[in-house]
Amino acid sequence: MKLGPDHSKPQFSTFAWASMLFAAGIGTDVMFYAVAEPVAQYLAPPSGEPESIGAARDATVWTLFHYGISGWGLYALMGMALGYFTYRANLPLAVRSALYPIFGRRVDGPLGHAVDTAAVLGTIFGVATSLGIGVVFLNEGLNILFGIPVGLGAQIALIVLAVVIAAVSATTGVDKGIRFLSQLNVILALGLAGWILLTGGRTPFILNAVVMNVGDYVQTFARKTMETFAYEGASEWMSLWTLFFWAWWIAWASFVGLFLARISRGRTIRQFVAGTMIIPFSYVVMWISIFGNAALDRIRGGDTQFADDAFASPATGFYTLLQDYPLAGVIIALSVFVGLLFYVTSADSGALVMGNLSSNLRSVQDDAAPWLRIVWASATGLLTIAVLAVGGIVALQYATVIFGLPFAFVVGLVMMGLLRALRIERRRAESGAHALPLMLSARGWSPMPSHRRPGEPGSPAR
Amino acid sequence: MDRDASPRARSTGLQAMLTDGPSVRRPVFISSVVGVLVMATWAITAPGQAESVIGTAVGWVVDWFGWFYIVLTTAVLVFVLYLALSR
Repeated sequence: MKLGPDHSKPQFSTFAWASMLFAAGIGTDVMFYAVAEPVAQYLAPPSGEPESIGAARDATVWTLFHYGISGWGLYALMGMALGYFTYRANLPLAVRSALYPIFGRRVDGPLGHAVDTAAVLGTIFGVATSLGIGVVFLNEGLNILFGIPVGLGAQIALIVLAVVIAAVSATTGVDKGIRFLSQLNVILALGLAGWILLTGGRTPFILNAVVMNVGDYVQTFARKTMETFAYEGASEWMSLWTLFFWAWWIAWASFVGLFLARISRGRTIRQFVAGTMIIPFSYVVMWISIFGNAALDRIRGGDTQFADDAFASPATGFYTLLQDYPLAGVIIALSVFVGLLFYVTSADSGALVMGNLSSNLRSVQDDAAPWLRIVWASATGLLTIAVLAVGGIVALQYATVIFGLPFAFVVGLVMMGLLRALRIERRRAESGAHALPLMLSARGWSPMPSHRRPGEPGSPAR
Repeated sequence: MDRDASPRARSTGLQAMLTDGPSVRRPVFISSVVGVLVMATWAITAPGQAESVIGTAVGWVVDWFGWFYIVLTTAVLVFVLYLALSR
């Protein structure tokens, strides 16, 4: 089954498609977490002995798990639902359309407004969290490069930069340029990971660790995906890690889903799911396993100073790690550049998506009005700064878990709506397939429409 | 409503920017913008209170709905894989 009419063809190459996914979805923050999370899980695991071999083994796997296929499952669901109900069912582009098979026409009233509001609020908190983490992370990088002080002043300036770029992009037509930059950015990010892999003098160790992490990910997946730590009672750990990530991906699901629906027209559901599961995950494995194991290797090699720093101030861990590699200045500058590009792209596409979710659009290719995009860019910037000022990244994480919950219920309903719609479509196709031979046999020997028999004047030659 | 009261003003650039493009889904836009502004204003004017309320609320969500987040994410993944394999 295709997202789009049966004859439609994909619009973008697979690489362009994948780059856009990263730029829109995980860009800057995966740089932050690739070092911050393995270090945190190694020093303070949810269960088991801290700073043991077991903790080291599991630390990177937790990060892979949080960035793994689970989040992309949510994106794929929203992408399929939005694509299916607008391309194939011709309903308006909105989350509420996916609930049409369940609630019928009642989705046009307050129910639908509530659903779409939950989607917009979830999205804005998800984007604000990403921008907040990005801002803190980039602030540290700019501090190392140019001595810009770390604090609310520089962070407000970075937010203003993102809002201005989103506004410029909304009113002029630089979206295409940003799309091009996102492809460049993915190549640069791959280059950075390659540098860490090849120049640190620990290449064989990292290759071993990457393979082992993937194996452990597959082997422990069933356990981790249903892990609630009922006996350990690790509720604080859960709210900072697994539940935060799940709420964050749920909050991002309309965003990435809308984007996926837009760039995936003409792909089949199978291609679409395979693409969203395999391509981003390969990138995530490469990035997180290389950086995470490099960081853990350094800690296990006896660098307790690095461990303490990266644990107490997660945003600096990434840069501190890079300082040990050849051409450290250049690669730190490059990382800040890559992070900044990903960050600006997220802010820009976030404003576009929130505008689209709060407009009456007929087609996935339509864009919201420029003023609306500017309003959303400003509102996101304001919210990011406000929550950052309250309690830094942790406050943003908590806010995501709280405000993702209403939309989590909506996601459950979207799944039911899509299932029901696909069942109806399959039944219709099956009944057509059953009826066809009957119809043909009822017409006698001729497979031609009855009003045009072969041999009659005007009938097409066969 | 009274947007059309002054049709001449439409020719200016700002006005064109406000009227171009698809229409806004008002109930959704208004309720979500108000929600965000209330939240941001509260966080800026009473950060201490906001921090403690957010802390309490997240504890409640995690205690009561933690399992739901876990089950939902797993169920969605299974559903998506089922769709991919079945058609």
